Formats: sequence, C-alpha cells, structure tokens
Amino acid sequence: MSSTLLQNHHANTTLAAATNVLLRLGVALILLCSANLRAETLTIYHYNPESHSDRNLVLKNTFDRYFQSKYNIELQPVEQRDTFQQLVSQGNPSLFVMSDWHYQQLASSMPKLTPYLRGLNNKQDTFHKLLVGKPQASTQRMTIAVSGAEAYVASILQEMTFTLSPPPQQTRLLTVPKDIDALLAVSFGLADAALATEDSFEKLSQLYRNEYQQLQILGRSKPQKRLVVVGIDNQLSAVKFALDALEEMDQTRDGRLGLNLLGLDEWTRLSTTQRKGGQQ
Amino acid sequence: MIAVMRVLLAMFTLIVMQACTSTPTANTSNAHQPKILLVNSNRAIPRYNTAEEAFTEVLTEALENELLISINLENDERPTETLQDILNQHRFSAIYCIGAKALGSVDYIGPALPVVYSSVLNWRKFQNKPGYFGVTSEVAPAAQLAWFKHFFPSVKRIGILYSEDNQALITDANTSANSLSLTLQPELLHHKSDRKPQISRLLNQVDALWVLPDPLILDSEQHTMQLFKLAHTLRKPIFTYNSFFMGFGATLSINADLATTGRQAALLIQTLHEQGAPTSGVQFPAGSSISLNLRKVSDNNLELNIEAFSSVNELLDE
Repeated sequence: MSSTLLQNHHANTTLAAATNVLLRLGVALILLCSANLRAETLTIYHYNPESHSDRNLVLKNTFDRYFQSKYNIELQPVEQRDTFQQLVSQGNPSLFVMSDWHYQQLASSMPKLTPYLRGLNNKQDTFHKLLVGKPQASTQRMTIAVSGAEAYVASILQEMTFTLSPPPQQTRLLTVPKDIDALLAVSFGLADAALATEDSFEKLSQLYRNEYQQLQILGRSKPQKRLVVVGIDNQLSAVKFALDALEEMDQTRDGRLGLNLLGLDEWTRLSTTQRKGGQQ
Repeated sequence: MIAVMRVLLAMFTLIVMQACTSTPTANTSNAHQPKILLVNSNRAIPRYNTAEEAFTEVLTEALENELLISINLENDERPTETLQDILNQHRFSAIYCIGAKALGSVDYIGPALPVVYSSVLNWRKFQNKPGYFGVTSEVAPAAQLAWFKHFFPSVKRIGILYSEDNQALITDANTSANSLSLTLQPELLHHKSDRKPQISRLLNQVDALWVLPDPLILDSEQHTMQLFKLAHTLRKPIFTYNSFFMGFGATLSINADLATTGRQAALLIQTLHEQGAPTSGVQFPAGSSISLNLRKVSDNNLELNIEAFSSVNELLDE
C-alpha cells in the first residue's frame, strides 16, 4: 500500500515536474512569439506641413486604437520635416502619410518612392486653399492667419490667383492650430486675412453665418491633391497588409475618427498608371 | 568612471544653476541697440515656457537688429530689484511679461515703456491701463460658443452660473449666442445663497452647462466638485474654458493655445514698433486647443458631430 502510495507520489512528482517544464517552455515560447510579433510591428509615419503638428498625440492614439483591433501596425506622427525625410530616405519597409506638395518635392530626388493611396473627402481628391478677409483687408501691411508650415504657405501664396491684388510686401504670418482658428482670427480683428481650405470656409458658413457673411475671398489656389500614402518601390509585399488596413478605415468607427483627423473620409488605391504619373 | 561622473555632475549642476537664476540671457551682445525685455514668471512651468519659445521664434526672425533679453523669475524672491537692475543697465523699447508674477513686478516698478502680457488670469485689471497690451487667458466667449455648436449641434439651451463680477461678460455672450441661434440661460448666484437647489433647477432647464472663470462660482474645490457632481447626476454635459476641468469630468473644453498667445505677443511688439499703439489694449487668443471626453459624450447621450472631431487636440475616454 505504502509502496503504491510512494509510486503514486513519485509519479505525481514526475508529472508535476514535467508539467512545470512544459509550462515554462510554453511561457518562453509565448514570450518569444510576442517579442517576434512586436519586432514585426509595421510603422506608418505621418508628417503634414499643410496642418499644425500639435495634434500628434490624439492622431497617434486614434490610429493606434483602430490598428490594435486586428493589425500589428502603429502610427508615428513626426514633428520635424528633416526627421521625417531621414526616415523616408532610410528605405525600411514602412509607409509614409504626407501631403502631395511634400511628396512631389521628395519624388524628384527619391525615384523609389511610390504613392499607393490617395485621401478623399466627399469623393474629391483635390482641394483649394483660399485667402479670405474682410473687404478692407488690402492695406500696406497685412497679417495673415495660417495653420500650415511657413514654406508651404509661401508656396501656396506664390501661385495663388488673387481677386484684386496680391498681399502687400510687408506681410506677416500668425500661425494658429486650425483653419477655423485662422478664419475666426479675421472675424475678431486679430488678423487681416486667413489662409484656409475651401472646406473650412464652408464649415464657417454653417458654424457662424454672421461672421462668414462679412468675409470675402481674396485669392484662390490651384487645385491641391489631398494626402498621399507613400511606400518604397519593391516593398509592396511587406507593406500590403498595412495598405489594406488603411483602405478599410472607413468601415469602422475608430477608423472613421482617424480619417476625420486627417480631413478625409476614405482612402482610394492608386492604379499603376496613376502611381507612375502621380496623378489621377 | 568616477571622474567622468564627477564631470557630468559638475556640468549638470552648472546648467541647473544657470537655468534657475534670474541672470538675463541675451541672444546677441550689442549694448547700443534698444532691446526687448522678456520677463517669465517661471520658465519651469510648461505653459509659460511654450509662450516664451513661440514669442522668441517669431521675434528673432522678425527683428534682426533688435536684441531680446530674457529673465526667469522662478525662485526669485526679490523680482522687483532684479528687474530694476536690468532696466537700469539696458535701454529697452518694450517689455513682454508672461504670467502674473512678471506682470505684477513690472507694474510695481511702472517703467515708461509699453508692456505686453499673456498668461495672466486677472487680465481685466490691466485692460484699460494706458501702455499695457495683452492677450487674454481664455478664448473669446463668441468663439467658445461657436465650437460648442459645432461639436454638439443638438445643444440649443446653455446654462451659465455667474456672479455680479461677470455681468458684462454675460451681456456680450448673450449677443454672440443670439447670432449663433443658441439660447443662454444665465443664473446669478449670490454670495450667501445655498447654491445647490439653484444649480439643480438650472440644470433641469438646459441642455448643457457652460463654466466660466467666475471667482464666486469656482471659489473652492468643494463647490467646483459639487457643481460637477450635480451635473453628472442629471446627465448634463459641462463645457469649460480650461482643460483643467477635464479632470473634474467636463465633456468639452475650449482652451487657449499657448504657443499662439506667444506669437500674438510678438506681433503686438512688432505693431508697437511699426505703427505705435495697437487699436485695442487686449485681444483674445487666436488659437484654440480642444479637449473632448468621448465617455462623457456617451454618458450624457450627446450627439457628436463627427466632422468636428478633426479639431480635437486632446481626447479622453474615461
């Protein structure tokens, strides 16, 4: 009896030890796998000189909440243009969300860049920037409220068609976080004019009809292409799942919130011809 | 290794000492040019530092011949003496004060120079003072109301609790609300009244409550918490002017963007140089930073305009 008990005890001890080893191996395997998965997380970088960069945290949180549901992807907004360009030039398997204006600048020196997705809003892949002000805005000195980077603003103003005359030589920029801030700055007498998208100006008409009616369009830009998602040529297989994830954003609430933060409501895939010409 | 650590420690101590003293720092050393004096109440406070950085960036680009001298009053127990010494040593064309300590100290000395200020809660005290030009701490009430309407189009009737100090603000806000097709329901609170029944009655009559910077309504943490608790119980959203109240459970906050206030202060200095005094002694912040609590949106059964989401800077979900 005692021998049987002893044997049973011995067997139990052996079983427990084996289970323990198996458990440890299992945990190690899980840790190894998760470390491996973490290592394979694909990063999508974002930099947009068309808009202010102070919303990077909310952008990252919203995109990551969407990705976390089923994708091993993270969004990394980048504040500095130089840092972003360094990341692009490294050529690692990643995707880059950028303004078309910026993409066109980079594409001439980096022929391997390939645009895969184009942002749309109300099915439109272009937008206009407007210079908006009160009728008496054209003074000797002008303060323009803007929400984009200085180089981008200068380039837009340079190619703009003006209703009457271009802004005077002595023009100062007041950088604000959002287009609506820029438009309200004119309404409240803090700036003489605002540079804002046509969409934002229309938004003001719904938001603040009285103020909207006191403003007039002083200039209009050429059509600007909306945001583009760019990758490196020959890396499509490594980033295809991330392109799919971006393309499906409009199908979930979190995805739509992320798109909305970029001023879009969907992404559309660019065909090979469109990619080569960079146009649709 | 120990020697390296000692060198690093010495360097660190030196940097900390430089950062903590009120010793002025100038971006160039030309003693004959008129200078701008920047007085920061405490550079260690991020919101003050953000304004200083933005101001310096704009002004350094704009005024090539102008010198900028910056002083930090953090840990300075005799700020007026420090300021007086600097004012005696240099020739200034204007002063920019960030925060109440800086503005109070400069005001105490009363130099015959234009003074520009920001991040000062009691800005109303200085708004009609000759030679003083400032950027307020809160976004214009009209702009706050426009944002409320943009985020929650179904909110039509907004309650406000106020004391007699804010009567003028309520009159202005009413005009703005009318032009936005919103109805304000202001409720005057008296010092000795039992505020709980009055608050509950107001909350039952409105779609949301707008908290203003009122010294009586927000006179203690206990009263502030009581206000938020009553609103939560009745499932009424609270809209505020400062993200501080998101911690109490506010649904939406329209805050001043501090970098923009620094840029506005720099433009005010430029205007003073080029055209003399600006037309208005005080201006509202041109930039906004928006905080939104999605959990409160759902708790209060609010209909969020998805398009407005693109303007959010801080998102909470708790």
